[in-house]
Formats: sequence, C-alpha cells, structure tokens
Amino acid sequence: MTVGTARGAPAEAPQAANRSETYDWEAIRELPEYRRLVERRRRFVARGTAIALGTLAIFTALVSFARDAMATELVGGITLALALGVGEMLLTAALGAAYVRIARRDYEPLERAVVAAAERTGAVR
Amino acid sequence: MIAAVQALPLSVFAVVVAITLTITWWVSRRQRTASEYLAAGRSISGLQNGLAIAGEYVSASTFLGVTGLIFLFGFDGVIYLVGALSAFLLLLFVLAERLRNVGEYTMADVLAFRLRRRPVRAVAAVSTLVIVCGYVLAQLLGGALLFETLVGIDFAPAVIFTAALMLIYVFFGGMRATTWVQVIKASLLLVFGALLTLLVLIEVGFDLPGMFSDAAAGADDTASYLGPGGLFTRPADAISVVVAYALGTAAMPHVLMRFFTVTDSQQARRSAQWALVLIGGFFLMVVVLGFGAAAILSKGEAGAIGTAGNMTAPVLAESLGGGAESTGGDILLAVIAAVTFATILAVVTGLVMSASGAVAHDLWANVVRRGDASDAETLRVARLTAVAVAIAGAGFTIAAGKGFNITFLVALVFAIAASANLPALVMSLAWRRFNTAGAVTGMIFGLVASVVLIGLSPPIWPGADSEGAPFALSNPAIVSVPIGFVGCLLGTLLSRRSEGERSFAELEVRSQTGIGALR
Repeated sequence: MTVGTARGAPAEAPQAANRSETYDWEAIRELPEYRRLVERRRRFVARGTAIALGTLAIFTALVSFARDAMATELVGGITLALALGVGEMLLTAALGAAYVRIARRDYEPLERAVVAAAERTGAVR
Repeated sequence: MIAAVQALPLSVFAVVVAITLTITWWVSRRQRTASEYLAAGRSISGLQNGLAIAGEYVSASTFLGVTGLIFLFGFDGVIYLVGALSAFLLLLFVLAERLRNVGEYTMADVLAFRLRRRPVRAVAAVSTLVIVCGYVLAQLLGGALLFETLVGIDFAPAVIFTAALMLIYVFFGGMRATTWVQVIKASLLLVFGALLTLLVLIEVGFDLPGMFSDAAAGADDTASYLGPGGLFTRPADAISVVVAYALGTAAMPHVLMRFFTVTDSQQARRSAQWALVLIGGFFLMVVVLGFGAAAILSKGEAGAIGTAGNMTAPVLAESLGGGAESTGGDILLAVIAAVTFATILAVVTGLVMSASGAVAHDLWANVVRRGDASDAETLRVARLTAVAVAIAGAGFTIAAGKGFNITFLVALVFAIAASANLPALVMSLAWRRFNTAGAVTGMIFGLVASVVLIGLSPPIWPGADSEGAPFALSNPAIVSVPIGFVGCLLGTLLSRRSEGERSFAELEVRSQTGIGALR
C-alpha cells in the first residue's frame, strides 16, 4: 500500500486546473440525467436515514425508559439490551454497504452521464 | 508493578516513535505547497483514508475510554459505541462525497461556499479551535496516562513530553505524513486489538454467555450492569450521549478534513465505508474486551486501572500475557501501550493539523489577508498555530488532571461539534434559503449554548457535591443541538441581506456530480 500514488503527480495550485472551464449551473440542473441522479440518490438516502434513525431512536428510548425489560437475560449473561445494541451496529454496517453498492451500480454511471450531457449541451465549456 | 520493568516498555516506545518519525520525515521531503501540507495533495485512496479515520477513532476515546467504561459500568458503555457508529452513516449518506466535491481544505470552505466568506470563516475557525483544544485535552490525557503507567514519570511531565512529540510530527509531517503514520498505527492497533480479543475468548473458553455472566459477578447490581442504567442514571443522559456521538462525530473538524485528502468523491465514499466497517469491527472487539476485563481481572489487578477506568485495556493486556512481573505480561503490556500511545500521537497531530488549517487558511489567508496571503505565509501561520495549540492543550490537560474518563471528555467535545458545526453544515448543503446570518447565528448559538451548559453541568461545576450544579445533564447535546438549529432558522428568517457570488445551483450541482471539484 502506497500513500500518495493513487493519482500520480501531486496537485499544483488547485484552482488553476478548473479555470479554463466555464459552467452553466442552472442548465446542468435542468438536465434529465441530473434530475434522475438527484432523485435516485435522494430516495435511497431518505429511506436509509429513516431506517437508521428510526431504529436508533427506538434503541435509545428502550435503554432509557424500559430498563427492566432490557435487562432480561437471553442466553447466559447476554441481555436483550446487548443483543439489540450489537444488532443496531450490524444494521448500520449493512446500510452503509448497501449505499456503497448502489452508488457504484447506479450513481457513478449517472454522474458520468451528467458530465457527458453537460459537455454535449454546452453547459460545461 | 511498574518500576522494575521500565527498560522494556521504554525501548518499545522508542522503536515505535523512531519508526513513525522516520516515515514522517521521509514522506514529507517533497512537501512544498499548502495543498500538500493541508490536504496531502488530494492523492489518498479510499482504503488509506478509511484506515486513517479508523485510527483516529480506535485509539484513546474507544480503546482506552470505552473499554474502561464498560469495565466499570457495564452495558451503558455500549451506548456510546452504538451512537458513534451511526455517525459514519451520516458521513457516508450526506457529507463525505459532498465535502470532497465542494471543499478545499476545511469545513469552512463548504460552509462559506455560497455565503459571505469572511464572517462565516471567522466563526467556523473559532468553533474549530474550541473543539480541537477540547479534543486535544482528552487525547493528551490518554497519551500521558499511558506514558505515566509505563515509564513511571509524573503526570505533568508526561503531558508535556507527549505534546512536544506531537509538535515534532506536525512540523515534519503535514497531512500526508499524518495519514501515513495513522494508517500504519491503525492497522497495528486493529491487529493487536484482535489478538487481545482472541486471548480473552480463549481465556473464557469461547463461552460468551458465560463471560457476560462472570463479568456481572463483581457488580453491585447485575441488572444495571448487563442491562442499561449503570452509568446514565437519568434517561435524558443516555439520549444526550447518543445525540452527541451520532451528530458530533460527523462534525469534528479533523474527521471532515480527511475527506479533502482523497482523490475524488468515489474515494471519499469508499473511505467512509471503510471507516464504518473497520470501526464497527473494532467496536465489537471493545465490547468483548470491556466485559472480558470485568470477567477476568482480579480485584488486585483492577487497582492499577484507576478510578476513571482509562487503563483497563493495557492492564487486561498485561494480565492476558501472563500477569504482572511475567515476561509475557510485560511484553504484551508494552506493545499494546506503545501502539496505543503512537495512535494517540497521530490523532493529536491530525487535530492540530485541522486547527492549523482553520487559522492559516480560514482566519489568516481569507479573513485577515482577504485571500491575498502567499503559500509560504499560510504555511508559517499554520505552524505557529500548531505551537500555540500544543501549549494551550498541554496547559489545559495538566489543569484538568487525570480524574476524568477520556470517553466522557470526548462526548462533551462531540456535543460542542454537534451543536456548533452540524446544523450550519447540513443546512448550507440542503436549504436553498439558508444565508450568512443563519450560519453565523446558528454556529454562535450552538457553540455558546454547549460550552455554557457544559460549564454549568454536574461533572464540571466546581465543588465536591455536583448536586448543586445549575444544569442537570452531564452532556448538553439534547438541549444545545436544537439551539444550534434554532439559531440557523432565526438568523436566516430575520435577515434580508443578499448573499455571496456563488449560487445554490452551483453548490448543488457540484456536490452531486463533482463537476468543477478540485483535483
């Protein structure tokens, strides 16, 4: 593993690379490809956040207000609280993995399509 | 247990420090520009960055602090872990890619993108400085405790020594070297954490249900040790800690800064994912280590851990290696402590880097010199800031003493970050009408509310009997985060001033697609 070679040459004066291009941001926003990208991403993030926040809120409420029930021992010294806590962590990891997978499959091609369309229509010059 | 075995741990310490310093020197030879120094030339890969983020997380606050909290209080320590892991989902879903696409060096770049830059940068730099100083305090405490335990010198010199070492890394290194060192140390800590976990499992005969039962045997009340209620006596305390961790982690300046070092938004996304997986795995190990320590350690060994529990993991390592005075115990203790110490050094280095960025890039180059500062001048200010933060951090740490659990202190810092930074950051990315007045008001409201409430809370309020404290909760997040959001709303709705030159459309398109992002 080598830090520093993922993109070869070190970046020079950062903004210079982009100065030759001009962008019409409003026009890019109106592109159908862009609409689709934003819509898809928003839908997944809204659902994923709802699941993550919802379960986290339930977990927090349970450990705060249902202490006796949460102290129920399931197997040996493993309590309901412990099982739910570990379960919430596993769910968090699963949601993260789902996002990355969908991003690679759906969002990255759409991002490239937006760039191509923007160049085709003259929104990026 | 300490005095007789100073030579071995000292030499392990020296070897770890020497190796990482050599790397730091070697990596930083071609460091000339501010982009190199503050953002590693935007050349870090997703896995490397994920490891570096994990390195920040699995050292003092988790490995030392949470292991100790679980050892002392049982399940309530796990609540910290659940809250903290959620933060990486927030980073992944909302912040990582957008930050990389929009920003340059600091969080304030994103905040100020379409707002008037000088007021926003000035306030963001102040909040970054407050957060960094608080977090440096917590990390220096961990580093100094390890050093004190192992080498047997007093607390105050240990703090000063740790801060001095940190400065050496900052001066030589910059962001690329910090990343390198963090990657190596994170890998080492993950490997040794796994080894310790394995040793615990062997010790308890792979009987996890039995291990938890044994862990509760020494507790006053089994139900509140294996279930909730051992640490957070009031329900609002647990909720507040979850809010602070879930929102604050995602708003820490040094974590946000890491997302500017990667090549593009895909790598930013991958680094958040790697961080989530690595840290999640380590958190599961910490659960086993904390309860395992309670099941395995005898009363005599528990004495070395300290009332705040911070030394649980190293003492457990010594016990698993064969106990105090045995060669195996000494070696395992020395290695675990040295690796943890090294990770802490890299964390404070990263923190000081983000403070340097805030002062040099935001305050000096953009506010004082109005974008007219040369690269060399920016670098000079960055290094001066590092010295100032190191001195302030060491001073605060010595003044605070070693009576606080590290995780408890970190939770307070996260509460400040969640209150001051997160509302403005999220609203500037998502709300078209959000304006400069909203950002400035929101950050000031959140910062002042969280700092004042911490000062009025039971653990900090002066006097032995904390019952008299004016604010009842030990963590203010549940109150101060809403205050931060209200500040953003009020400021935005009450101000009519028009905004900076860049539009919400530019921010949105850039953050969504990466068009126009810095390479």
